Amino acid sequence: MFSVKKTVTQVSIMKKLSKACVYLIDAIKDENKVLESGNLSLLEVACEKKVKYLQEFSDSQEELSNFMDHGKIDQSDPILLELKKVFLEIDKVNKRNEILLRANIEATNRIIEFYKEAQKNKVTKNYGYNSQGNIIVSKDLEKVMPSISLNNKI
Amino acid sequence: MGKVAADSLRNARVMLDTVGRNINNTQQPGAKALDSSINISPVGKNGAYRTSVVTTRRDDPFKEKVFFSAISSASETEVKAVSLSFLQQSINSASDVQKSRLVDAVTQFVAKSKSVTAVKDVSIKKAFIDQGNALADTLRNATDQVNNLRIDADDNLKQGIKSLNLSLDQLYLLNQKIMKSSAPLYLYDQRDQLIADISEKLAVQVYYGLNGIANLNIKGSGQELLSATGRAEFSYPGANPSDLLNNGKIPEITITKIAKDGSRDRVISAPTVIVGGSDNLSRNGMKGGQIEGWISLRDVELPKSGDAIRSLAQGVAKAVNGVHNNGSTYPPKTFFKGYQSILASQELDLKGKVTFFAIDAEGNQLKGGAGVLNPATIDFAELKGSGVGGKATTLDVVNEISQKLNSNYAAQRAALGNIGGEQGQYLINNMQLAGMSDIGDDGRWTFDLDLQGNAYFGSKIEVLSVFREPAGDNQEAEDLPPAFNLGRSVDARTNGPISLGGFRPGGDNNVQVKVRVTGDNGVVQEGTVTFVVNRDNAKLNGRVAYKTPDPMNPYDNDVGFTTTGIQSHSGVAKAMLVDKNGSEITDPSSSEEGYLVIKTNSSDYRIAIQNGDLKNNSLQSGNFSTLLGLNDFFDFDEVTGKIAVNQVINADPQQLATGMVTLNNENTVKVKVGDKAASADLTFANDFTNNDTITIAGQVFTFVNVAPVNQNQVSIVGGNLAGSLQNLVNKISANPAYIFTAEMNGNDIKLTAKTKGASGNSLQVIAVLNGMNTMNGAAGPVSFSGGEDKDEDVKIASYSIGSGSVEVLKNMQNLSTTMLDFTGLGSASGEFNSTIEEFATTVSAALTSQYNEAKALNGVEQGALELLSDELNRLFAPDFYEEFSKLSENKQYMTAIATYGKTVQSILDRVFDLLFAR
Repeated sequence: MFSVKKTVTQVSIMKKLSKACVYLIDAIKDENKVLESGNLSLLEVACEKKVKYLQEFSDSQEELSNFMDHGKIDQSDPILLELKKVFLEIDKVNKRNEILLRANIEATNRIIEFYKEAQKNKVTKNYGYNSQGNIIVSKDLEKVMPSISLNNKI
Repeated sequence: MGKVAADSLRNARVMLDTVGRNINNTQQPGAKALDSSINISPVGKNGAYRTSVVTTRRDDPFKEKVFFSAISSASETEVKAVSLSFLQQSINSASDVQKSRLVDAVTQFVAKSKSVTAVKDVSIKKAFIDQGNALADTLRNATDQVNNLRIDADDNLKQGIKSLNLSLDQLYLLNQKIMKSSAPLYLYDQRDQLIADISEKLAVQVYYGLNGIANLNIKGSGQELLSATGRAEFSYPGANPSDLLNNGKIPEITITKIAKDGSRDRVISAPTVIVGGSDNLSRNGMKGGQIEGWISLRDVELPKSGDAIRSLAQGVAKAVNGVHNNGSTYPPKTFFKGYQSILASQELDLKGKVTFFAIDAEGNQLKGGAGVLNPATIDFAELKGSGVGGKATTLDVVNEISQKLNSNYAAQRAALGNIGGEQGQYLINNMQLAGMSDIGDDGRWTFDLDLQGNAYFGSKIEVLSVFREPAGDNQEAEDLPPAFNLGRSVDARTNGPISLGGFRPGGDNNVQVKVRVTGDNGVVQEGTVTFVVNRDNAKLNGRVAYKTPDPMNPYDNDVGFTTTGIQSHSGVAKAMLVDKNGSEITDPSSSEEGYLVIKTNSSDYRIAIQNGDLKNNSLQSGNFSTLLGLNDFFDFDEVTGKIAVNQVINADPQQLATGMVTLNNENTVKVKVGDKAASADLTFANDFTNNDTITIAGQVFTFVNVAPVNQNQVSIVGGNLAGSLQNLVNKISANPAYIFTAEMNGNDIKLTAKTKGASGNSLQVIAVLNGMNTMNGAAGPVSFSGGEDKDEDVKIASYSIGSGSVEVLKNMQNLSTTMLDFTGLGSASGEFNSTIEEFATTVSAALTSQYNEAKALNGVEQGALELLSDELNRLFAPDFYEEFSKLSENKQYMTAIATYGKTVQSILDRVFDLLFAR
């Protein structure tokens, strides 16, 4: 039988939920920034942070659910209004996160197609490098893959 | 979402980065693939594991070194092949690469001469000159192209050295990063790229040091280029284009060692020469790569091409000038100036003969009171001079020309063998002594005869005796020269040395010369003439002309020669050596360079010069005016190797020599010629006794009882007159020098003059016989008789050139078939006997061959490089399909990440429902 500790109050649950939401928003925003900038090397930190706060968000949801099994939420609590705004913010950044990930997947698909084409028209020199260390297709490549950290320089 | 999940995420990220880099490099030439793999290792004792990613680079340092070496070889051959291909493009037709512009230009020039038939039309001459300009332009453009490519090669060398320095600096800085890097693998592609850049410029040896830093030495010399502590820096200011093309200074390439002091360079060794400049071109411490290619192009390959084109330009100029110099403008010229500079004491490489024609403004042979002036020929094979071994120097030649064209005509004359036609026409129109040496300290002088012939008949001249007076110490020349054949219309030296001793210093010495002339007309005449010789006029190549003797001179005993009443012609022209300011150079020791000038004494007198033997008018039988450039069509610049149509001709088409002076036999004159030979029949009463003599035409025969000891003694048979006379006949027949023949006629003897004509009637036979013997029953001499002349129409030789003369242009046309000697230089090196067009083909083919060789070598090197490149790509380069597969995995990873977003949404929906939907 699940027991609720006496210390679990609406206030503590709301505080915890509110805190998890704010951190999660920050984490998703960080991940979005990484996805937007295409700097995959930073994705690890951002993603770890997001997973951490997702876990906290998930835990808060569990506590809230347990609390609601035995009690009732005072709907006049002003924090609920704040939470509503925070939830909308999560929804907003999460949707953007989804879009960015889809864009990256799409870019990957296009890279695959691009390379399929490039393989057919291989015209570069057989050896050496040009004076800038670039290859002929590199500028086109940049256009189609802005977000996954590929540029034409090592 | 615990620790393992986070580790997996990190590992996935590293592997994703590796894939991303590999994808980026799938088409990056030379890039090597990185491989990432998960490494799982136990942590502690409770069965926990830690995962990590290990990244490795696919490569093989040995194969890389071979690859760098192949880059150097291919780069060196490539710059040569590319540069020479530009030259090929410029010398081959744009529409047909198999067609050489050089050959075309020569062919069209020669062909143009065929279309020039009416030379009186100036516009036609102009068209021919324009074709010459087109040929010169083609050759000049080819030379310019070679020059430009040489300048380019030097400029590329200069820029290449800068680029090499930059690459060395970049690699030095990269080495510092590699040393400090925890993941140096990611910098190796960049490192290898820079080594490839450097290898492109120069062949290097690579040694990998700590963490994979690159240490470089120059291959071969071992000169250090790059280490962990410093790098080499080269310096080359580039050659001044003008110096480069005119054998001026080419700077050295120096090397110094640089170390980084913070961000600043610090020089740690003084510059030393690594590639020699123009004073030591063989020194090259920078082998391989483009740098050696550029140096080789600049100093070897392109000069070889340039020399080949130069030899064609020179060959064209020589061939065309050879023809043009053999011709004359119309109206003929009064003034010639050589194009080639020469020194007074220079021994000129003159070959064959040259003939000067003294003509008037209409092109007809000049005439004086003594008839027409013969062409004056100098045979350089015979001309002695003051040079080493008696070779003629410039001043000797100058003096000889002046003697021929000035002094000989102007001098007083001594003639022999009157032809009987025009006044002044003799078989020998004039005879002079010509010095073959100065009078030596021992008082000995050697000379020959300078003879002027006539326009009617040739003749044979025999020197019968030569004496030097005065009496008391008379000297007679011991060895007399062989008979000399003087051609019709010829002035010539006999070149048969006559040597006399005892010439006293400080005064005159008389030299008496007795000659016999036998003309083609049957005239035979002997004569003696006296010349006054002293140390002033008895010089090498100096002439001693006849001079009316002092009335008090006791030695004036000239016989036969006509020395009065015959007029000469004034001097026609003089030759001079002049410096660049026009001042005459007369000092044999002068170091001033000069030019030969021949100038007529009057604008009424003109000169035409033709090389070679007039009987054999081949282009190469004489080179006088060609060598000195007296009448060049093309000016060839020895310094630049370029040709251009002579400025004077370009400015005035009338200066184009189109014709030659030719022999005419149109005028016919009646003169006496020998018809029947004179003869004498001799009958003797008895056989001869010892010491009886018979003198026939001055030739004494002595009958002797003993065996004859010389050609003048005849053996007496004894009581057998016919036998003794037969011996006399045998003696006469044995000597072809006698001017008569003898034959037995029963017991008598018949003598006949060898030369037909009345002049034979003057021959006499004088017998001095002992006892009762008689000749023809009397004691007196017996004269030859029965010699008769007859009137005959004789065509008189005369030389002229007309306004329509086109002999030069015909000879230009013949250049298409005339075999000439050419000297090929550079890539067309060798001696060739061919037509001018064939030589152009030879040079063009040599240039193409030089290019093909470079192209073939480059093809081999590029092929080897391609094979190596392919192998390295196959073994080590990121493979698209492999990376494609990884990329697909990455897509899945992204998709997985996207599920976190769905989780967020799901939790959010639940929380919202809990809080607000109940």
